[in-house]
Amino acid sequence: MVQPLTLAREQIVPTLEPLEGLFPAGALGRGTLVGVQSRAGGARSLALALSVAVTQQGGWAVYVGLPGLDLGAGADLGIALERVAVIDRPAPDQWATVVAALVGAFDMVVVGAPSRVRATEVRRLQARTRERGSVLVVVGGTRKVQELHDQAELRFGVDESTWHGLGPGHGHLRARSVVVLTGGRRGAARPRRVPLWLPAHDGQVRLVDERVDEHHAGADVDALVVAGSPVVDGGAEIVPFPSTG
Amino acid sequence: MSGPDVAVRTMVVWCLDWPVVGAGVAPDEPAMVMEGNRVVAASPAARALGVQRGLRRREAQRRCPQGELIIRDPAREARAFEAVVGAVEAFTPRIEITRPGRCAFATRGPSRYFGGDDALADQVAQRVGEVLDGRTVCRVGVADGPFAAGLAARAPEAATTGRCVVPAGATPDFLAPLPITTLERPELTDVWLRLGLRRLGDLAGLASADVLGRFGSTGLAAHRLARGLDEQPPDARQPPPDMEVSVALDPPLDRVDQAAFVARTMAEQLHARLRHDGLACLRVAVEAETEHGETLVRLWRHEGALSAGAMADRVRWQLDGWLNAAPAVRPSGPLIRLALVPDQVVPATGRQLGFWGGESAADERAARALARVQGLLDPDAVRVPERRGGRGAGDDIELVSLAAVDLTERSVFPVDRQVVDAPWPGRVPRPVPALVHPDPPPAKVVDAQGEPVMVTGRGLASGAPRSLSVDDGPWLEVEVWAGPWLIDERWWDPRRHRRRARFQVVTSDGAARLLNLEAGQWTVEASYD
Repeated sequence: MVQPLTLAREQIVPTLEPLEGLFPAGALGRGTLVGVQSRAGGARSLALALSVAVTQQGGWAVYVGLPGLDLGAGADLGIALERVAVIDRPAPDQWATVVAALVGAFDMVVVGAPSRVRATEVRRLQARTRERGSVLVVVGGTRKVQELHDQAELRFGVDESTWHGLGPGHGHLRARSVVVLTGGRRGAARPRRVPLWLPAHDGQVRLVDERVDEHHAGADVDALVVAGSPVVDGGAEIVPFPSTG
Repeated sequence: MSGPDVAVRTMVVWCLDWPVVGAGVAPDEPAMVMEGNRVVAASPAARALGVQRGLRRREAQRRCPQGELIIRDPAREARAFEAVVGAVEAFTPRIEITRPGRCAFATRGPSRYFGGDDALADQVAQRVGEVLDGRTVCRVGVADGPFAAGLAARAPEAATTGRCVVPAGATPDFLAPLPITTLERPELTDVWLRLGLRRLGDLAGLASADVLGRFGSTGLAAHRLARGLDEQPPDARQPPPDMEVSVALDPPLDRVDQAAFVARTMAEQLHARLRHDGLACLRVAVEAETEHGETLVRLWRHEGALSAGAMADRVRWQLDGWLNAAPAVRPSGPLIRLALVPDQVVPATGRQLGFWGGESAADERAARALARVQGLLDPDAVRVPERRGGRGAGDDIELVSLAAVDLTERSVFPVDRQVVDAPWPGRVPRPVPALVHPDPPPAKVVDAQGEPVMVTGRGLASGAPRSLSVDDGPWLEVEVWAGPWLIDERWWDPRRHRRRARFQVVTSDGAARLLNLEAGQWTVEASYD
């Protein structure tokens, strides 16, 4: 029997063009576990931005355990709200079961990191993600769930967040420039810095007009300290962005 | 199967204001039931103050400020209606529920037994009146066909005497003087009104071949209704017996949350089978059997064909009604078998799916996974976004429970698009913060002298914010800020009046927050995560 041929483009999840610099081969492969953290905000926005193109092209995205998520922010980035669902934060003992039920049925599963998770559960979820071809994005989290981020094939740290449009006593927030530091395993292991507008003045995700730096002197991903989803968890715990490999 | 082309003599029992009664409101309390920012029903007390169906929320509140606003919950309405259906069941077993608040049955058998349509109507009205116990009134209409019987229940005669029986064969004369808009098909009646067809009689006078030629099958169906016939010709097929979907429940089912999961799977199976044969279902029978051998049957009807989601909802409502009924009428044990029997099927006219949209394999997979999560957590734990428009942070998008909508056929804009896209003066300018705190954490804001920052009655800040502490955490230096942006909401309503001031601040670590100052208390309303 001849195995059906799978085309390379069927094994990736569509992403917005400005984000392509984040991925090792310029595209987000199916079956990837992605960890997103930030020092001072931006992790949720980046996770929303990752899921824009997939919903626009007929795929489905689900957001689990992100209390207070305002999808208005996602809709402004371009998320098609008709192919989106939101699930309340499951109890810690149900977290892995719920996520496992969604992996495979949704092209993109964005989950807020749970308060605790067992290493075996993480490995099982990762295997299921790889087998079913979804993308699992874990947002934020404290030191207790660092396991999740350590296992991730791709890790993003949102750093150097600078807001534009607000002055001392005047103006209002208009745009934010950030630098996304990437890390991960295998092809993604080489650290990179990708400067992004998240969002730009027109509300879209754009590349800051600057070369994507492969070997920037300051791009020491190991030394970067990022906070787990700072305000949800009280902003108390600071987690080191983990070393690669 | 083809019989004489006459409509089935039908009785419709209609309980007024059912959405209000189902919500448990006494008739003398003013209350309004809302769906998608519009009034769908109002209690008599609210109606007396001028609240009508279809009013916008703001207008309804202006006319009846003391009225209670209730969000519509069809499951609760269906559960409450089960008591009424139970009362009607004393007369006939095959009752068809059009929607909670209205049911219908064929009168041929029962009216022979109870001594004619008039006697039957009186007895049904009396029996239902006892169950309703003054919560609302019921009206009974008898005519040839469910459409005419429904109109008879709304006729002026029914309003005064509680019942209106149209004699057999007189249905076309009864319908003829009624306005054509009673067909509730605006896409057709708008044209007919412009063509000068103002009454149902005008339409009935046309030759059916001409109506078919000019207005197609939907026009023909409306023409049949106007002539006092059934919407479907009598050769509408009875389904072959193997269409039934039944499940043996082991362990026996006695909780509604289990029922929801079973209902969805069964509805999807039945829908898939019907679609395979190119059929659509107009009426479905929900049958259940208890441990003690009782058999329960209810028919649910839907205008147009039932989609899988709509069928699952009706099964869930029905099971909810049975399992949560009053002890006297509740089934004596848990359910051991459940069956869905398509009762009236018609050839599916087909739905033209969009080239990129429509129900694809991906949509079905997503719907199944969400049904599973609903079963794992709670039916209301899974929600989908709808755009509502609003000026507060997080007001623009409302998350509605998936249990209340159909995943693939819902609209992201359930309300008027113009309302959503309206300018909403006073809203925080874009970008939208990704995190709107469900429980806003308290904060402290001080100026350069270490004094708490306040806002004066004239709307001026007492000083420039210099440091911020969230939830008694470490002090963060405020780099840039703007405000106060004053909001004075609902100043006409002393109970819900809110006066507050907003600030946007960016702290030295680069985090941006939207702060809220109300009655001297600072909170973090939203974070630009």
